Amino acid sequence: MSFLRHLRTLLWLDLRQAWHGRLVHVCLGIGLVFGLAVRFALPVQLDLGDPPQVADLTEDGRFAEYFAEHGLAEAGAVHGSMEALEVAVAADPDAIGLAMTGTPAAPGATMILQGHEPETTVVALRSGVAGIWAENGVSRPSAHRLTVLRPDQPRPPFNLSMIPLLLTIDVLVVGFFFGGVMVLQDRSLGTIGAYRVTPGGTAVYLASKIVVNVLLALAYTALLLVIAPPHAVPVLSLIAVVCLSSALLTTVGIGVAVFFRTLSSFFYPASLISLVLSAAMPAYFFPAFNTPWIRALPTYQAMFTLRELLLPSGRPSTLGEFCLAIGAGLVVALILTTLAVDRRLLREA
Amino acid sequence: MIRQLRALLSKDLKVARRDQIATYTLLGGILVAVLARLFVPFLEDVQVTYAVAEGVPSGVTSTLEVHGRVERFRDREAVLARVIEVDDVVGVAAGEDGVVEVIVEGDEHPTILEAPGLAIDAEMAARSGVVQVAIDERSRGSGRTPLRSLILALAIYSAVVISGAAVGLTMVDERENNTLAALRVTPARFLHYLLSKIGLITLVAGLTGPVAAWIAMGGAGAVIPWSAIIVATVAITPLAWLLGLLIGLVADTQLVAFSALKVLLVLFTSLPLLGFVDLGGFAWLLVPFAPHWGVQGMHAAITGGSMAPAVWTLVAVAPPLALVVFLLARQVGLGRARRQRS
Repeated sequence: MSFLRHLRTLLWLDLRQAWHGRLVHVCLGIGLVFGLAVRFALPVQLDLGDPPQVADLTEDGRFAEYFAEHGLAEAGAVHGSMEALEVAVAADPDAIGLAMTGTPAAPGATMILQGHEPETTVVALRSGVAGIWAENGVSRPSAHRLTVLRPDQPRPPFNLSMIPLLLTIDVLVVGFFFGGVMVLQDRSLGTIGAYRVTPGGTAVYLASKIVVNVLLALAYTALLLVIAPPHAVPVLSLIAVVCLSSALLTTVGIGVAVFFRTLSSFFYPASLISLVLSAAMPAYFFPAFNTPWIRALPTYQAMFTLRELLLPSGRPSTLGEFCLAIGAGLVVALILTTLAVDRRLLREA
Repeated sequence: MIRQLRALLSKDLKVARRDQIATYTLLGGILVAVLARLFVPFLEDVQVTYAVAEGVPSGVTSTLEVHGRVERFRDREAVLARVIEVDDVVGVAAGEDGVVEVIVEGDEHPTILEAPGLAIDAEMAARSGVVQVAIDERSRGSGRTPLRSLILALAIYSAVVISGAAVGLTMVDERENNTLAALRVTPARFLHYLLSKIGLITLVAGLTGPVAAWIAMGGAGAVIPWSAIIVATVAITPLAWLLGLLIGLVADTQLVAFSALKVLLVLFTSLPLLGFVDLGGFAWLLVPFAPHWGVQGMHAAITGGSMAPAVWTLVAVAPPLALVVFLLARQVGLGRARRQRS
């Protein structure tokens, strides 16, 4: 009972501190801006790849229809000569040029590359060229069969697919910063000195900071989802993911912050940790980017778990797995941070 | 004036050394550059992962190894379990009818859906004597991807600009521990205070820019356009002043400083990315936005483009910087003691 009483008292003080420190304003303000951006500003569809620049230089012009069917003519990517194709490729440092030449009896093609393309891309292009000829006159048997596990599953709208990413960035990365900054603020205001002579212990101190950050994370999440509702909002599962993720990163933030005296000295190490946590973001847009160290980041797990909750794709849920992993991480972080807070903060001379 | 300025700068340097702020600021910029350099190759060559079951012809497996990364599994069930994980992995299993089965989820990027089948067909066609396409490959000889130039520019720009943040945070420290109140009863004037702050930022930013560029662009042996990098760094440094002074202006506690940083870092380091996207009719919105010109200036320095964006950075940063300096002068209030005496 005394734990709860102490927690209530400290929690009230921390909430006031968060309010006066404008953390609440910034959290809700960013939630509002991001929500409005997702709802009204971001496009529903976004193709991240540029179409190739092409030219049909065969005598019978057999690829004209094929290029039109694939939207290349409409995109202005079809050129009438090799010279025009070369100019187009030179104008865009991302472009790849492809000129189809020859006849079905002697098929040919010229690929104009920028020179920075990885070997795997070049190899795939060669297969692609053979495939285009196979659809336009060169007879070859198909040696494969394509099995699509979820054929009726459309890709989610681009704007809504940003929600899991925005939640991950602000709930996890900011939770990490907020926890640390609150400790440093206590230190600079002398609150730590006063707290040492109260009956509240390390557990109450940590719990109060975690609860404040979890509440901020939930408020941000709720605001974002109210403004830009995704396909599904499984409330309990969402609360579990947000609470566990925010608690974990807040605890880690506090554990790191106790080793610093001021926000200015904490800022850079914390920014670097945030930068590493953010390294998982490209994988969200290019899921083939799946190196083991990226997959091990908690932000990677959180992004995709949130995506599955809010924009279900039919994959088996990873919620249980995620909660177990984050829960285990939280237990370890709590033990280490409790030790660090106890030794370096609350017993400091 | 020089004596006052030297005293204030010396105090700031001592504080920076005591709290290791200067070290962290320099190391921060350098580590941003190191991370950019390590991270870019992963992004430039994102290889598709193929989950291949036992029994798939060895010719197909070796073809897929050329096209991407191959993970081997004992049977089709294990391949299916791997394919349905959250990342994009293409499954390949031996079909009962001798045809290779390519397994995808359906929401992958179109190139990932088509590429493995095309590769397998091409390989099998080559083995069965089907007429082959004669491909002539020409290279324009460009060694650096646009993505690499963009990330390097953003990393070097960020390393320079965020050096202002640490000095801004020390201004908040000064307010919290009453150093500023103590300065008000000294002959120090606002100009000395301002010059000491921007002097420290300039010192750190001036070192960080070239060092970050050297590391990010390849280190020893790399061809680095030094003069352009230095011009861009000089143009970006007032943005670091603006960031630092803004934090000092709006924040009276560390918590408020962090809240301000949360918003300012988005403005200074994330929004300028919009300059690399086709905004259509909204592109004019970026014209008065100095961070946009800062990133474009560094990008031009790296790619050998025109340095006009660097000049525009200086033009665009001047009005907000002047306003912040004006407001800060009123808020800091240094020089009152002298005025009162006179």
